[in-house]
Amino acid sequence: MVIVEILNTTDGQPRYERIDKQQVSIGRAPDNDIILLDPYVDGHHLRLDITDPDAWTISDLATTNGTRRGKEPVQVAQFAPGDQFRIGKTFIRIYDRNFQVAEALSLGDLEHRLLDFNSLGITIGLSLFMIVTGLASVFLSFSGGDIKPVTYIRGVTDLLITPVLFAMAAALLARILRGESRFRPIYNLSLAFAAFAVYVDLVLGVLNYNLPGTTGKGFLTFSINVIMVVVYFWAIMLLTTRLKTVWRNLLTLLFVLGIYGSHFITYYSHRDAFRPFPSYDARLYAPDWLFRSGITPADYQGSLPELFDEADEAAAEDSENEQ
Amino acid sequence: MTSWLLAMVLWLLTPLIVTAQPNDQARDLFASTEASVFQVRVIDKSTNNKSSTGSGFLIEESGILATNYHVVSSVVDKPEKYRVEILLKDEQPVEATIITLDIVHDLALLQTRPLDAPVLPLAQQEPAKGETVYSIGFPYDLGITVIAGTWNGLAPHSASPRVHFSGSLNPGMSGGPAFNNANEIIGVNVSTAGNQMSFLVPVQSLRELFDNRPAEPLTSFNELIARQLTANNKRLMDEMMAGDWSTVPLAGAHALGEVTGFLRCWGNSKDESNKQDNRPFFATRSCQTDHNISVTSQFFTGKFELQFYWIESDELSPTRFYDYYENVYSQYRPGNAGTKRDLGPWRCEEDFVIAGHTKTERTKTVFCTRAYKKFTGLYDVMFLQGSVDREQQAFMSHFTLSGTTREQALRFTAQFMESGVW
Repeated sequence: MVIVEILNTTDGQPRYERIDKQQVSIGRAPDNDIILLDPYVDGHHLRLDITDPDAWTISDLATTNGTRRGKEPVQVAQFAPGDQFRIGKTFIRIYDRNFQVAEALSLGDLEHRLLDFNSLGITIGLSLFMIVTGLASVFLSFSGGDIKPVTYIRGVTDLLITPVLFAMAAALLARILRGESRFRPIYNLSLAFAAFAVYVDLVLGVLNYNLPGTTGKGFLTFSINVIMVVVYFWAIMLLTTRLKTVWRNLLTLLFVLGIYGSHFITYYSHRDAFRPFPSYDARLYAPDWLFRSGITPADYQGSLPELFDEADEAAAEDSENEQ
Repeated sequence: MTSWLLAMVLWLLTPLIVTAQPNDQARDLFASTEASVFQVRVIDKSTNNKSSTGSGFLIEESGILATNYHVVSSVVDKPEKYRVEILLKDEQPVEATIITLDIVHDLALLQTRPLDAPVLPLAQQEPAKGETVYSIGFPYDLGITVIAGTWNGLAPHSASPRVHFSGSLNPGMSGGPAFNNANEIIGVNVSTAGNQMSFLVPVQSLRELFDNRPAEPLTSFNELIARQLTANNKRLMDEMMAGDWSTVPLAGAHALGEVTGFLRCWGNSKDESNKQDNRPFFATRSCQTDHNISVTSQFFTGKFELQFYWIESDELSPTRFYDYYENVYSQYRPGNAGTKRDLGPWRCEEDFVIAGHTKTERTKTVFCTRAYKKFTGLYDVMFLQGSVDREQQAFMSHFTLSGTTREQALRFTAQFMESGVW
């Protein structure tokens, strides 16, 4: 008995046929054991002979488009359970009932869950979502002139280039370290994090706008960014390397420390630099995004004397640093 | 025929005869005053070379000379790096020290040893408008030069008294004297705006500085400068506070008029009949004082600036309009300049504040200040208020006060926020 897995590339969903015969015919004609609807398949396309359990044979019946194993054309050949052939636009794979399937992916294993995050639907959906986001961000910003098509293209590529390049680099790493590229789940993961980053930034921007004084670099914004980066790198390490958990954790930590460390070093190197102009929080959103009411001019003015004290302290500190 | 020719020649000569008169006067003046006008040199101590030059003149027998503050400001700022000297007629340098200064009127007094030259008298009366006056100095390190020009009286609307002199002052003449027909000093050369537009400090300011000079030369000037800047700021602020705070319409909002004489206002708006792009309509009004006080060649203070900016659009959605508005709102800058040596870091306070007299409309308001490092109690202040409640319109009001005090800044801010500008 054999089980034949049939995967038509146009609909993407596999079906399985169980045949209790020593010889199996496959083709488009109704007298076949397995009937395929693929128009690129001949009426009588293939014959499988499984009489000898140690020497299964496949025969192509001189067809228009032929039969291929991988990229190699096949006329008459022996094959093993689990081998995959392509006829027309259909893939078939033949198993016997004792075929050892891979271990079940574990719901409790994050790596397995991530590996399963690989559907084409998610890939297309996320890509479209990011493209729409890129187009919208170009359209909604306004600096005066008409927006040219190239600006839209640039808006989309600006948004996509980082996650896509990153996914490609990670897939290459996985190919080297694990022998398989795992591109799809890595790509999906990268795009999901990028989309999250874009929208979380918008939400935090509006939040900060309603809380003036937090001036962009609010603690919440910073923390969420750190968490996001940690989670992303950890997941990528999981998918691309065979490292033990402790090493993976350590490397992720080092990586994130590296990123933020260099940020801090840059910040501290320039913190004494003279700025001729004040950097005030100039964010403005349309009225619908402003949820809080205003304070009275008197209250506002009441907070200003303290500001002069701060300016005095800052100047004194600055003078001390110079000496 | 002969008489006709003679008449012609005489007629041609007439203007020569008339113009010859001031030239003669200039010659007389030059002869009688030249000995008392000297080149003032600022010397870099480490190279012993001059780093800048100006002019100065003797006003007291013991060797007191007057010059501009800005001629010797680098010595005041960095006494460890620069010193000042006077060049005598025989090209011999003589050491000088700064006794005192007036940063607002740009004057300084130098003490040197008694010099063999007559003391120049200060005039008691200012010349009549249109009178020819003469200015002496050392332009471009070229040697002593006399220039004739016209006295046009005090420049109107100036934040500090300045005489408009239509003659060509050139670099290096700063600090030199200007004389009337009686060879009395009527002012000190100070600056030029090119094209025969020059300015003199009136002699009255010099007399006051001379009368109030300390017995011993000061060793540190920071306290004196801070005091003078503070007093000057208070004088200008008082004048502004007492000025005319009535508003004038600016597109869909109200702006302040020319609050007081020394604030000069200009306006501009988008020409809708000649549209080059689809940017929103704008209308702007900007008022400022006419000059900065130079503390050093890189640090200016004393400038006030008020600005009002209206934008509106029928075509843009609120999201797009606010994106554009944010661009405009983020680009306000204070109108003065300085360096890290002089100025501390900015500190800002931002909040949503109800616009003064509207009682309901929210604005995003920013107040930033930085402290002067050497002049305690003085600050630069920048204020910005922008509407956030209108979907396709926005109004911003902004002011910069440089070289102000807490008290004056807060007083002005309170009045500005309640002024009906909106």
